Amino acid sequence: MPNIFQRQLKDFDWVLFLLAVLIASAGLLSIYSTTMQQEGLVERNYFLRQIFWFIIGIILLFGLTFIPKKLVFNLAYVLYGLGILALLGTFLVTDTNGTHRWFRIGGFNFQPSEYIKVVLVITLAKYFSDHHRQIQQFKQLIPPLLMVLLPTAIVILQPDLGTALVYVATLIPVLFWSGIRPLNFFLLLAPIISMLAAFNIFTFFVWMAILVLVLYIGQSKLWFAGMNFFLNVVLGGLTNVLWGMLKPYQQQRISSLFNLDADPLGAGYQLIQSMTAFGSGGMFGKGLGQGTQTHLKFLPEQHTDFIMTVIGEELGFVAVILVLGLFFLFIMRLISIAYSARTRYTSLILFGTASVFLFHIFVNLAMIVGLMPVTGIPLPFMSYGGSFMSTCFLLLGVSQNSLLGNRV
Amino acid sequence: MSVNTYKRFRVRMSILLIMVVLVWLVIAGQLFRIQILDHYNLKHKITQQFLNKKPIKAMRGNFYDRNGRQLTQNVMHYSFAVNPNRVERPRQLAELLSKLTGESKSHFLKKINDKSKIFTYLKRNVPKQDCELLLAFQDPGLIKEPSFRRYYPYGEVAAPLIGLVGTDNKGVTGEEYYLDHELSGEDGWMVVGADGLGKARMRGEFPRQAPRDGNDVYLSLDVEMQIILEQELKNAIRRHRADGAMGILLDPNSGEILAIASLPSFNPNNLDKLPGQPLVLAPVTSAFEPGSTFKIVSAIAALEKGIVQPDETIYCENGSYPISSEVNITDWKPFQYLSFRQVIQESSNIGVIKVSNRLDPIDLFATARDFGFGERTGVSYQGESDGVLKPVKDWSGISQAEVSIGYEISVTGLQLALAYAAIANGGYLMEPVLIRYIRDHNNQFLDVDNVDVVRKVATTQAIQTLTNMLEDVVRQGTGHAANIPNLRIAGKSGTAKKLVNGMYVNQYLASFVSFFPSDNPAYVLAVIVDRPRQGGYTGGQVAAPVCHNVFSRIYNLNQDEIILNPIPESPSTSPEDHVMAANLLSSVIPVSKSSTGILQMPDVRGLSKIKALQALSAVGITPHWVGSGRVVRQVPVPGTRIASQTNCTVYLSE
Repeated sequence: MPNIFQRQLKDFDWVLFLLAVLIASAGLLSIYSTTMQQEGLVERNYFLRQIFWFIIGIILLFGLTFIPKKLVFNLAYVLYGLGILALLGTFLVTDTNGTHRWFRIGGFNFQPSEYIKVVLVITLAKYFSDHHRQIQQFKQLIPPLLMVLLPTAIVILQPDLGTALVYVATLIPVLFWSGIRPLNFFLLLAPIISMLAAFNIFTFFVWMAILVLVLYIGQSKLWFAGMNFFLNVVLGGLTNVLWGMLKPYQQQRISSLFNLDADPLGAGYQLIQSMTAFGSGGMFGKGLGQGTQTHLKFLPEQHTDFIMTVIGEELGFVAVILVLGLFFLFIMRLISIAYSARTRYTSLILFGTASVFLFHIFVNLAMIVGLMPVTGIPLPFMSYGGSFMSTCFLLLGVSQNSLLGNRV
Repeated sequence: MSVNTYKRFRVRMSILLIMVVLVWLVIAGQLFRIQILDHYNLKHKITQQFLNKKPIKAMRGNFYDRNGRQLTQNVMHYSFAVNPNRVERPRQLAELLSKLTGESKSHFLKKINDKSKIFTYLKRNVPKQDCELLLAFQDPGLIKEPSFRRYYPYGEVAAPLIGLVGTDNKGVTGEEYYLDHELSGEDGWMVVGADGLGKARMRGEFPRQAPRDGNDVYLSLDVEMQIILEQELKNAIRRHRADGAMGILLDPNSGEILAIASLPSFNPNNLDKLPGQPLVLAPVTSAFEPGSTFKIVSAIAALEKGIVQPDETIYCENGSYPISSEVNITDWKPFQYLSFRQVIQESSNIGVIKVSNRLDPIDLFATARDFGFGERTGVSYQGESDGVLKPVKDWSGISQAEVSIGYEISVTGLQLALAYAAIANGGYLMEPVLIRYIRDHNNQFLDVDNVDVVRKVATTQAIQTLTNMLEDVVRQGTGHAANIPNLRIAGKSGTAKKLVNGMYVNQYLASFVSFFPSDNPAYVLAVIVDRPRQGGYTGGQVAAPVCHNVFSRIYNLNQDEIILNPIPESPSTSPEDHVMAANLLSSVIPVSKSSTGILQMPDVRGLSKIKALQALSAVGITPHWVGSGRVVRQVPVPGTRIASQTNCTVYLSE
């Protein structure tokens, strides 16, 4: 047995681990600062709770690392099925906001949609490594597409738009990395672009022209090209319908991006407060625990999605760039191992993990600096929240697990 | 599988790397922009948002009469608002509000549970006594805003004099307006650290400035005499079905105004029912042709110049005397031979004209001017009228005759009363005193109106002669109705035809001006009744009885026999009174929308467009907008008195 552990630890990527711990520490520091003056009970003390979840995360990470790699690989579809069941199970419970996102297990909120992120990475990696030879055919892309769209549809109903975006966003880089034909990749992305382009009639026509051109150059069969074109036109037309289906607060979040001061107490409020926090921090910040935005609760829920503003306000631009650097190194490390991985499965796991993290990091940071709408996407390893913290460590664990035997 | 499975993905890898680097560059770039380039702006913004300067309202000064009776009060009101995100007990809160207002619980629950807002008014301006349950209710989401509203315990009494305040507690008419700078004081402020949930954070020492309460104003008015005067004028209006009446009661020795009435009045506590006409103090602001009461000027001029002796006989032309080819002067009854004394006593127009025709027109004019006619008295009230006294060069051939009997000139009630005061006090024209003193918040008394003599207008001898004549008027002449046995009263009646659209019509202004006791005058009283329709129309029939009644009641007052129940609405501060006051006051809010049309332009500078619109529409103005952004300029300027349909242009910053 000691031999197995030794072998495992030999393949364990300490650089990734160390970066994750550093980032998590920055998160803990920020949460400590926001809750420093908080009086009250231990269960309301975010800092202590986050430390607890950090330790749980480390345990999960090492637990996963030492599970045989084959087991994870073989159980991929079973895990997927369990995940979907858990996700459906949330509809039995209605929380205070009238949404169905949580289970309560033993005093802790359990959010199945977070674990689906891990499951999807494993499932997609397994599928594409199993089918890599036939992957050039378009019809081989339909199962993974459905695999992603099913949980996506469920979380949209919960409703949790942000998480749905994470699922779709995971699929795209993995597809790219699975080696499919550029034309097929383009055609899979096309519907998304069609829907976005349809907000403006002019961009929509330009986009349709590009689509026709690509279909022509790709020498697709006529029926295939025609179906594709038709699908994109219909989806473009659906955009307005879907926009109308968005909740007013979701519409407002998107439109508030373009005019922050229009409704300073409404949808633009968080963005204004977030940018004010950054701006008032300046180069070196006001000092830990000195942020007025933080301690006077101008930013609601700052310890979750807006955690980076604490660093921005209290420690300044330099510290933010430092944390950004840690994230950059973390992602680059994942991608570079993926690039040099010995097996498709390992590479795809690492790449999927990188995709999930990258999407979170980008969307979260872009949101708090006012480049994207407020979507409720947390920042990996830093944002407060048990489910998300353990998800991050689970993803890291799956990656470490996939590295087993990589160096032999 | 080869070790280099993915090495053939070099192009894909490069694309990916470029995208990842781009993501970081975009975010770092944006961070650089907001954290370094906009650092100053955002830092300033945060200071503003954190350190919120809140005003501490100053208490508006009050009016008191000469005996210290309080004529105005500030009644505490509360406005209730809620921060729906902090409310802990919405049901109990809604229930209390429902009990208070009578509106349904669900109406309030809807507001309380609207979590999209952080501030919503639930009920505004509730008098303190009505909302004690709500005040005692503790909930972190309930916001209680105190404010003061004006209450006038005497109601209609002296209302045109005291005036009104608007919704912003600024004076809009009367002394409330004229003395607003004294009354309003200076709001203080406190810096509070407010958090994002709108809760004040008191941690730490923040600067504060206590408010300076407004100054109290002590009027020369005696509210008991004011009430007597108003009651008697009202009786006269009712008895003679007149349009209105005014009265001025003066102390001739000091020029202090003891009572000044302008009827019909209005109830300042119920602004829903304000009359359509301007809420002004007519004895100060409106001028009229006085008629015979002006004859004292001709008489003094003639006696001073020695062109007539009191007992000289004058032929009164049997009641008909043409002064030009068109104008024929008549007397109220034909007289043949009257002494000058009798001319005044019987108020013969022909007699007065014949005597004053002996005068140089300049002398008649100068005497009128000396008595204060044709120029403002300088009384402390906004909008005083000059009256009209044409210079002699503008006089026509009949002007001298007309002026001598009180036509072709116009006077205010106050000017008339002061002219008689000059007769009463031995020949001194006094400056009118309305404000005795002002007391500041440190109980320091500031003298305002000193007793001042404008000029000596006549010799003691002429005054004495005229006083005897005026006593005869009351004893046995046209003013007999003013007579009180065993008291010496001097007076003169006037019955002026009203000029309507340039024509004299059979509508009259009945007046009587008198002083008593005439051997040592303490009071001058001028009474003018507008358009009496029944029970006589002359000054002697209509106005003289008012003087009689007022003097006899005042006389009894001085004998410590209080014969009146002076205070119709108790000024006491018992809770019931406040409730009553408050009930009346709950209707105060629409003052700006009242039919009076007297409003003040609100200050909207610095406000956002939406806030400015709210402020302006609250006073019924639909502004014209120029530009966008914040308000930088407004026309008319803030504080301008405006009508609700006034054109208003608001200039915005961009």
